[in-house]
Amino acid sequence: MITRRLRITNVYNKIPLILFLLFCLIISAYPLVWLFYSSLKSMQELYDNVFSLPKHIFLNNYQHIWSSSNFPIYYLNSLIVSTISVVGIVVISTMSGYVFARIPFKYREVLFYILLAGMMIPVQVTLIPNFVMLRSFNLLDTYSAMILPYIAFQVPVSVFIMRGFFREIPGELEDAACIDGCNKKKIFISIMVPLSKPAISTIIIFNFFTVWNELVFALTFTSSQAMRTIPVGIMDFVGRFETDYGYIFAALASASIPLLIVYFFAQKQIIKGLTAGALKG
Amino acid sequence: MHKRRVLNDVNTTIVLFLVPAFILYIVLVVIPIFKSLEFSFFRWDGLGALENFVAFDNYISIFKDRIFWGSFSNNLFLVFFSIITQMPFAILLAIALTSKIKGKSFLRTMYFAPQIISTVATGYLFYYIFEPTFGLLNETLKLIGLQNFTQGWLGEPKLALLSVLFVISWRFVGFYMVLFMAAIEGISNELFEAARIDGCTKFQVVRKITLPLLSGTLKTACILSIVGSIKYFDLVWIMTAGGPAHASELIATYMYKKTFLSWEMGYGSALAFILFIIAFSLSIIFMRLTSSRQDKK
Repeated sequence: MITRRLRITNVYNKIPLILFLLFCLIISAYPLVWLFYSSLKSMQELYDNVFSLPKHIFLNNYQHIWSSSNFPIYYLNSLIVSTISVVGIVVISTMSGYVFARIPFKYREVLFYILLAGMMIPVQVTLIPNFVMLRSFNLLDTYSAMILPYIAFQVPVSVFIMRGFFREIPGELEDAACIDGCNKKKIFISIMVPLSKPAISTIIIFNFFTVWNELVFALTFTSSQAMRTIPVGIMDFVGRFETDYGYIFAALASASIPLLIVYFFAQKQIIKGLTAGALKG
Repeated sequence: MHKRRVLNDVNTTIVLFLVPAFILYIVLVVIPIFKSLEFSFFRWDGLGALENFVAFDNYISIFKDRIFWGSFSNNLFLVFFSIITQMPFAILLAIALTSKIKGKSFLRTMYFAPQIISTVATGYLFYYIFEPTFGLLNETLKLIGLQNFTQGWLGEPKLALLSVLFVISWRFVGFYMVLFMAAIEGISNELFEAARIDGCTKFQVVRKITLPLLSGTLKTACILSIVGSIKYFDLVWIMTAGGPAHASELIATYMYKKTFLSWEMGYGSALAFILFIIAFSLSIIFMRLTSSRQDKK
């Protein structure tokens, strides 16, 4: 009897909490859900009632943006730029992280902190000089104009994460390998890299999201439709179709839904990757 | 002979493994900082030769520029209110989601989801939610009988920055929540058990154990938020482009306009350099605070 009453008061006590959690759930999730189902409505339906679910699934918006706009090009560009950048970042920062963690040499700490300072530099301060430099090498409006700065700016935080991981690996593993006459590069390839898969996946996730969503460099260093990535491409797209809400919602949904799907399947790693990266940066 | 080969191997590894990182870093990050400083001493349209040396004129003009001070105070507004709005929500949600309730992993997933989509998509999504004639927000207000509160949210000078602040919070609360959840999960269970045995109420446990032990994470989160707010660009650029009439201008958006819309590259460089000094010194304070905390551990 007593426990029963306790349980009831417990439930009553929990009502404010439940309402609060529901309220936050609506605020954080409803805009995304709304975006998704609005993209499946015709213009007329959108004007009639912004809340209503689509009466029938209307795919013309998607058809339009995927067949007769530049959207597929933006997507392809984003894939190319993100993939190459992330590969570059991972290779370069894994190598540097290994040296900073496992091979002592003179000035190692100084060099490491100089690189680390890169995490604190706002991109804006490098924007004009890099614009001028890329222009003088005729690199403006190319993939390299995005990829090179992305790598340069993401390497410091990635080195920091990799170094932290490599430092945790016990030295005996290295020593054991060296008995067989193993050299540093071989140790790196055959022992360190396989062991560091968790850290590598963290920096892949963190950097992929950062590069995929990057706006400032992509906006400044590209100008033609053929080079636009999704973030800047969407800006151009919205500029052109300002009042064609259906198209715009379909474009925003197309840019977001694949990421959300990946997120729902790999949320543990993604949450870990995104927070680890930002915390260090 | 053998020893030399080992040494050789070590040295080539050091050089080979560090060179790619440092070349890119020096060429694309370090040198540009000094170039920015150099450009800031010139009046320059970005095209001709760099010859119109004006010494500190750009900096002097900036200090007399009311738009700059407006942007600066908007940045401070963002710094202050980001913390005020995000941290309490994030802590509350973190405490709720680390207690025994059903569906907490689902809730965590949903609260973090806004962090996943790009800032540009977020910006436009809310641009249309705030849209005055048929935007979701005004329609919702009409639906619940608050017609009088319908607004052109992004078009009102007084509301533009506030509306953007809401979106920034929408995006980041889930992120900070995850940081606080990790911290709470790190608190030893014995502490909570002991408190329960001593007959503490839930509220007392939160006040006496959870909150004090979160102070380190709170400090980290605040500084992350401060540094982020100082150099903020994306959402403002998408949603208001600093308008109306510079009401939501930030240093970063103002610098962008001066540089790439009116091609005052010298002035833009000086603005960028000021932004760099502010962000860099704040970050150093951040490093100091967090590293001293780690040393104590």
